[in-house]
Amino acid sequence: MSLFSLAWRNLLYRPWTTLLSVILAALGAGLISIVLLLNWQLEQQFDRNLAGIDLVVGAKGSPLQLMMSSMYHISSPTGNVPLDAVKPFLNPEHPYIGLGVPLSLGDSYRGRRIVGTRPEFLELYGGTLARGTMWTEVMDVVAGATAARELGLDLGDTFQSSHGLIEDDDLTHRNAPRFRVVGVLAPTGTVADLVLLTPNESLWAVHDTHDHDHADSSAAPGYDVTAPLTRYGDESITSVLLRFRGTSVAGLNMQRSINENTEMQAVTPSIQLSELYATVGQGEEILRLLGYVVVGVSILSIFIGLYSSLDRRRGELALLRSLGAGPGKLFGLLLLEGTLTAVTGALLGLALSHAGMALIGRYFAENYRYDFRTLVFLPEEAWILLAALVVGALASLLPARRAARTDVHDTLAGG
Amino acid sequence: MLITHDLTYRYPGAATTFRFPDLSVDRAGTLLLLGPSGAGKSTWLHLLAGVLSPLAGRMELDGVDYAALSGAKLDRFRGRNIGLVFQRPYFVDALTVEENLAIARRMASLPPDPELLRTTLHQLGIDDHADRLPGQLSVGEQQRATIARALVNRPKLILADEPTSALDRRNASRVSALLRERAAELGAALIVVTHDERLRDDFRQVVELTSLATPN
Repeated sequence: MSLFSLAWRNLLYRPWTTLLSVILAALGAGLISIVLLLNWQLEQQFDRNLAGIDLVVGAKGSPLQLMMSSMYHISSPTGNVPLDAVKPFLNPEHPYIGLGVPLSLGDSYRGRRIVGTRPEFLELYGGTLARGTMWTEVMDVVAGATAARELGLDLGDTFQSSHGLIEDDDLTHRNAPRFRVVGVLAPTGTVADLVLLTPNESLWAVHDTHDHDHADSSAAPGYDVTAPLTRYGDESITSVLLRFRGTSVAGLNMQRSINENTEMQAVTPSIQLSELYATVGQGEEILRLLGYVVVGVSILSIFIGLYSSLDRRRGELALLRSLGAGPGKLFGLLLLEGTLTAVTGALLGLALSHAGMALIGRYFAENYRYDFRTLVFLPEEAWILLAALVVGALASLLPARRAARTDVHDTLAGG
Repeated sequence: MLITHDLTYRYPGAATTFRFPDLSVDRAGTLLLLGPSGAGKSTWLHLLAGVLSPLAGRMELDGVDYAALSGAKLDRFRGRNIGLVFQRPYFVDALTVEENLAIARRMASLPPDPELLRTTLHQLGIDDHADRLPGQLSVGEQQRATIARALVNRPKLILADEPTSALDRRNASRVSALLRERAAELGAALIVVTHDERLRDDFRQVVELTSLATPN
């Protein structure tokens, strides 16, 4: 019968008081922890997919929407831009631009987005082929690792895309040519895992037949998917992702010049992200503050629980003193009871926040095809446990002091 | 075995000082301190128990002058050598009867001895209640459980404060007999403080108190 198990038994002896304190501590720790976890997950997802992109150029509209659709493949594109207007950015000889990746968006297959692009896309996200080859013809598809796995796609499989980004049979391009899987990417841990890649021309081909469905579907006009996109004239794409050569003031000037002088807009992802974080941060701040308030209430609850138990336990404590326990032992006993309550609550809170993350992760996986890693434990969580230890000790300090001062003679003689 | 000499005590700020008669109790000897309420009996008992520290004087148990001990040393000495039976049955409410006995050994830093706990409970006829919470026992059973706890560290001195005042005649003489038998078996000195005249004939030595308090 150690001091530890004595403390434990005392807590279980008044289960409702203890339960209330544990629940409050769990709520406080859970709130603080889930804010940490969410924050970490979001920054992980967003930062990992920045992929060194310095500028996104696309149709005018919400800058956040342009970035979200072109870089994270969440929400719909802002519209299309004429290929002629973005041709300069696709020129490999451009003095400021190191890499320009054209994107054609808007179609999907069973909820997975189809991204029309050029092989430079793989350069952005460090993608390499796990199986098969790069595309050589229109309608060839190279599937991201996660997309291939979840859709059950393998080399040689064919499918028809649907218009828009949601899974809806009515929107399937029934008369359009079928896509054919020729390659599957190795996992990159980026957004490249989640999408189906194809040459830009494939989307044009689908919409050529779609827009004029009286036309002969087999007669795709002479597309050459291995040649630069700049050879086409009268087409349009959704956006271009740009990586600059080094960091140059010229880049900033280019953004301003695009925004002021063209029908397009240019967005700097890092700036957009920090604006997004600032917005999300306000919500986080409120949740975190709420967490602190609940922690405060839980301190109070532990304190009141222990302090009020002292009146009933006066005789018991005097008894322990008479049995040879020094004041230090009684102090330690009460301190243990407080910290045990707080730490148990914190452990429960951490478990709850991870369960909550699993739910949120599932929601994101279903709605945005994003994979959250829910079993990540952050170093901050160890700090939460340590804080619980301190909080428990703090809450039990006064009751412990009073317990240590139990006067054996007064208590036992006074009856 | 137990020898006291010139014991005095004064409550902080009080105008009177208690002067206690010298005592001498042999191994396995029994002593009854008989007197009315308010005579200073509990004070005397708590001095002998090492719960209070005397103003002056000596108290020797088996040759150790524990009047001179204080703090953790006194706590440990008390836990190991003195078994206390209080007027009211105090327990750690969250622990079973047997665990209450175990905690007594633990608090005195003695090694656990489950066998001894069981035999002690058996001797007092409450081994059936070993796994129950003290609150579920009758008053008489609770009293026997506190006696069991006072015995479980095999003390050299057993002190009981009004152990029978709440009991009827039959139970009172049973408790008195139990205390004397167990003390004799352990070879411990037994001192009972009471105003219960019924116990007078059970004890070899009887000290009657009137008032112990004298002006400073």
